Amino acid sequence: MEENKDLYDLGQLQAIAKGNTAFVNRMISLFAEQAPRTTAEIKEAYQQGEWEKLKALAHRLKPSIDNMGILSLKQEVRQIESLAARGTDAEELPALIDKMEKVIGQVVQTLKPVA
Amino acid sequence: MQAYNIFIVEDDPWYGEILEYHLSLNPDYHITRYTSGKECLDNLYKKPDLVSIDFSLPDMTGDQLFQKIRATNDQLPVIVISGQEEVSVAVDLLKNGVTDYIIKDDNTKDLLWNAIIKIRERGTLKKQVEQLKEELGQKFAFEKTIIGQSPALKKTFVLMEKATRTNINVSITGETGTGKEVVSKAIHYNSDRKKKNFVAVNMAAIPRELIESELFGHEKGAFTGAIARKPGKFEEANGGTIFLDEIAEMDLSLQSKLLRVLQEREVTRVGGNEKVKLDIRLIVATHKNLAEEVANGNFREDLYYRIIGLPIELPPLRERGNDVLILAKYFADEFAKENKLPPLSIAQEAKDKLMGYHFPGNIRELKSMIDLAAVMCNGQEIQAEDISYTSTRAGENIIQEEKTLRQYNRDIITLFLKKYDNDVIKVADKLDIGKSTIYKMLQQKEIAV
Repeated sequence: MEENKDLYDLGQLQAIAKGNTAFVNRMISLFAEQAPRTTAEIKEAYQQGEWEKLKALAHRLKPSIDNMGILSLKQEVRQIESLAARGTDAEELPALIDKMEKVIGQVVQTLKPVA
Repeated sequence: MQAYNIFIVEDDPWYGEILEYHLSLNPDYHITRYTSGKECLDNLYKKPDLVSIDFSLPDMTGDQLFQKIRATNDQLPVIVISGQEEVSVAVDLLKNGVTDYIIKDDNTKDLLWNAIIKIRERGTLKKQVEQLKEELGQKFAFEKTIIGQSPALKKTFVLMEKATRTNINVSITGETGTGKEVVSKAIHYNSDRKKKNFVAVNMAAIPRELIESELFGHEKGAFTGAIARKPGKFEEANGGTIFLDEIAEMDLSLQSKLLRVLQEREVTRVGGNEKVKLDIRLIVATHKNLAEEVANGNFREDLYYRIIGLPIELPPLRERGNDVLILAKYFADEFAKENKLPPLSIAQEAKDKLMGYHFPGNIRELKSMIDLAAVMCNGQEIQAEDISYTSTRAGENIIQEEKTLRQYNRDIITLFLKKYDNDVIKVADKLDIGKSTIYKMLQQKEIAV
């Protein structure tokens, strides 16, 4: 199945898998299951002003965004992490979190197992 | 090959899965994943070979988990993976004894792969060193190291045995070649310290201007040529034994520095301020009489009492009776084995010759004598004529033994003939005897040239 390269690029994951498609598919379903949940937690942490938790959640999401080749969120997730590390609200945060929620939602909808 | 068991402690399932999959590409590795510090601690009984922990865990930090692991196992290699890019976090972790620290980024899995390879290599080397030390310990079992059955030697064994049971300092005295270093090694390798270093320093062999930095180490830039920090022999021996041979040759200024180190049980490197705690056993040796050296003002009395500990006096070979023959046979066998020769025996006349000699160079001299005899002998039996006295003090032998006047004459003339290249006229002149006396003895084969 052709992947939507504008949204994600499984090249890095496939390089790690070294030809093991079962592993790639396992990671895809793990992402589809986890990433929306983590994004929801990020949103909630922001709303509650729990900066430390927000920082930790963004930090945790980083590797999967990188490995899934979601280039449009690569900088954004890092920005969320570093802004949260300041321990106060930042005006950029709502837009960044919204973008993250939207893109991840699109990726999850588009993701298909590889053959 | 036995599986290499790795625990991965990572609360992020995605990242844990990636690390597990990547490391599993090595078929030698058996990976088990845990998502919390507690889960990891609960499973330590499974004896992992290595633990990789994420710094930010839900129930504790990587540092806290590391401390808890260390409390139960001080040897287990632990790698911490962290997104904490602050250098101070890494430095603190490494200072506390973490084996490696890896920053979480795109290269983490490869860095982890390489770190594990290095740790395994180090572990293998460590095991090999431990095995070799074990073998060395067996090699230094008393009965294998110190050969002989004489009462004089048995007394030495009793004292050595006592020395191994405690941490007391030991001072060994004895003539040159009596085996002072061998005895000190045997004490070390039969004591609880056997797994740590045995470091031998010959005080007479190191130039005076270098000895302080050799013993106590130096900091970078402490003096011209000190291009890097170097730990001294005391630090090298920490946990083990330091053997200071020819202690009486140490000058008075160094004696006071040594005294301070022994009193404080800590050492400061030359040019430095940091104090390094010491846990060592000290063994000293000398061929001199230390008490006399104290009386003559050459050795500090306070240092004397500090180092004297358990004194062991090694008997000279001439006082060990039949041990001479036991040792001679042992050296002959060793020589044959090392040189892939058939076993060598020793003829009765050769034995008599050995027993009649006083060995001023002691065991070292006997060994060199037997090695030479083994080379010189034709066949598989060492004969009397194969044995030659190589000692620089061989002439002293003549007056050490009870002989008839005729035998003394014969030995003295033989010694002089050897000394003056068989020049009969010169020997006759030196000994103030007629040259015909010498010729007559030669004719009657009483002496040989």
